[in-house]
Amino acid sequence: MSITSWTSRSAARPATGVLKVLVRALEAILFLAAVFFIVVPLAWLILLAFAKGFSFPSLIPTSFTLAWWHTVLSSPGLVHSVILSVTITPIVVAFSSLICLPAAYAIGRFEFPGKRLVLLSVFSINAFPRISLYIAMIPMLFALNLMGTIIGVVVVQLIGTVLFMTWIPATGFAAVPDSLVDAARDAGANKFQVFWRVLLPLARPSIAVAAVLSFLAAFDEAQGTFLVGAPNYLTMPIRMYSLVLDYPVQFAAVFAVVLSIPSVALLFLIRKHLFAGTNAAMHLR
Amino acid sequence: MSRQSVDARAVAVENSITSNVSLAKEPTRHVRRRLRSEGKRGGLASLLAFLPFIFLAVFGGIPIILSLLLMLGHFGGPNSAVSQLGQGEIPGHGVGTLGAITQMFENHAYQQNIIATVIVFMISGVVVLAIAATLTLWQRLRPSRAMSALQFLAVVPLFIPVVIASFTLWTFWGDRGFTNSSAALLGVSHSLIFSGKLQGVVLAEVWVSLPFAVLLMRAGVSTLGDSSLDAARDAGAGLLTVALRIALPQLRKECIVVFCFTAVGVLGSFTVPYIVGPSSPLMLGVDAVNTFSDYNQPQQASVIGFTIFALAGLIGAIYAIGSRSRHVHH
Repeated sequence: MSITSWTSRSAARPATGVLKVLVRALEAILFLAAVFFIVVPLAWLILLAFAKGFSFPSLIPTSFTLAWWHTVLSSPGLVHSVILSVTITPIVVAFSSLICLPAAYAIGRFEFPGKRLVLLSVFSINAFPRISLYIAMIPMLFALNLMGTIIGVVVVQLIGTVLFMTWIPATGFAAVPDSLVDAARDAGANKFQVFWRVLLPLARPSIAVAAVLSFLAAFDEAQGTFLVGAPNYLTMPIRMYSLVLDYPVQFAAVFAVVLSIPSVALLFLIRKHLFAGTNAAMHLR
Repeated sequence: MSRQSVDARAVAVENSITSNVSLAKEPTRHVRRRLRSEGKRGGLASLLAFLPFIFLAVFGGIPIILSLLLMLGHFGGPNSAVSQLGQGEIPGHGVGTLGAITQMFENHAYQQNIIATVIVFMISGVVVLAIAATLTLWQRLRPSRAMSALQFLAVVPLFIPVVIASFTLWTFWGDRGFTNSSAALLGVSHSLIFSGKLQGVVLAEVWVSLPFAVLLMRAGVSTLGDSSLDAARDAGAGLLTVALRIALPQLRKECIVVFCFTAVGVLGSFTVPYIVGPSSPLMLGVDAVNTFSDYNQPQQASVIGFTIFALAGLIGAIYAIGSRSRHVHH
């Protein structure tokens, strides 16, 4: 079920006269409201990042500067956060792959006892309100001596990736047609070759989507990391908490723009797969 | 709460509440034939399939039990490490004590926090549902470029990390922000500030929750058949009637999922209320973190954690009731 398909097979009929004008006007108002609610704040953020003077109640900066960028990019603490985030996130994704991808393969291709238990655990952990789950993890992390450690941070960030890394590749593995597998077997491929040459390449897009989503989930994770990692591990999103409170607003705006770049870029890259994937994973009917 | 964790929960909550059973069908559809072609039950692979389960049991399941014990005043065993830093602890013997729970619930500020949290997640859920349903149905019944662009805009927040969104909205709606500046320029006498207020929290939660709600409603709306909509219109029904009487009842399940998912997301959020919200009353997520980090009271923090769980149970009940009455309809 494609996202755009239904717009074309419309059930609409042309309205007439006054009604048509009214509807068009209402649509225009709604559109402008959405622009003001969603787009203008983001444009405002970007303006802030280049603002030199900003005097209330002016809507645009009185003068512009690149100085904030220089300040942010040369601030050792912030650079350290960037390095930290860029280091921890791939570790999380790697461990998440190790834990989840074999399960995804098994769930997608086999029937085995306990399969529903695995799926239930993967789905239900995400039904818990996130912050209360992190609060509940604290005694355990203390007992294991993981509070304030990088392993603790990895664990907390990994929780949020398990569903992506298990479910999305599982649907990818499941979608490989049996005829292809059979054909490969008939051609003399052994089990490993079937996996390596047929299943894995065909499931690769779904694994890539899962990896990107997991990467972003871990990269942007703030509240659990804050609870478990601070003050030892101040990743980029956590820096934002203190920047908001203690620094000039332009300073935080620059950092915010920098922090958004990976998300926007990666999500833009996979947007088609993402929406198709969300739709597939969401088929309620 | 990062945006992606929202997405995760998006798919997750929705899927888990929808029913794991039906979702499990997808990968297993052709399993029988597969058993023949790939042989066995997966052998090693199916053993490895339990890795996520083990991970989640160790870092999700067991911790919830430990946290429950901590709340009831059991400070021994694995809980001894965390309780060493705890202040104002209320020890329990035997089954445990409800001391920490009554202490929290008798506190007027805590009562206010609970009420504020419930109000915020209920309103956010309803508003998000209303917007998502309006946008998607409108476009389905009367497609136009404006509405399709609007739907695109509604998905834009998906691309922005929640921390950034919170910060952006906080400045935008702040005392020197865009809305207040506009109000001043237009000569509005009173200020137009949402930052530091519960209204701001609701608006920001709507902002970050909208993309998933729109995506989900869009998936649901796309399954509406032309025939029933056309039939109603041929019978002379107006657009609004078709939307409310014909289309919306068929989308009952999506509506409930969107509401419940948004409500659980808001309930479990920290970043949005921490940055955008007031210092009193606090959303429970912020209160929990403050109680643990600033007041060093893990036992009391676990009470808040379980209050949040209980409220999530309430949302789950709304879901259960809502989806049950759907079957009565059909």
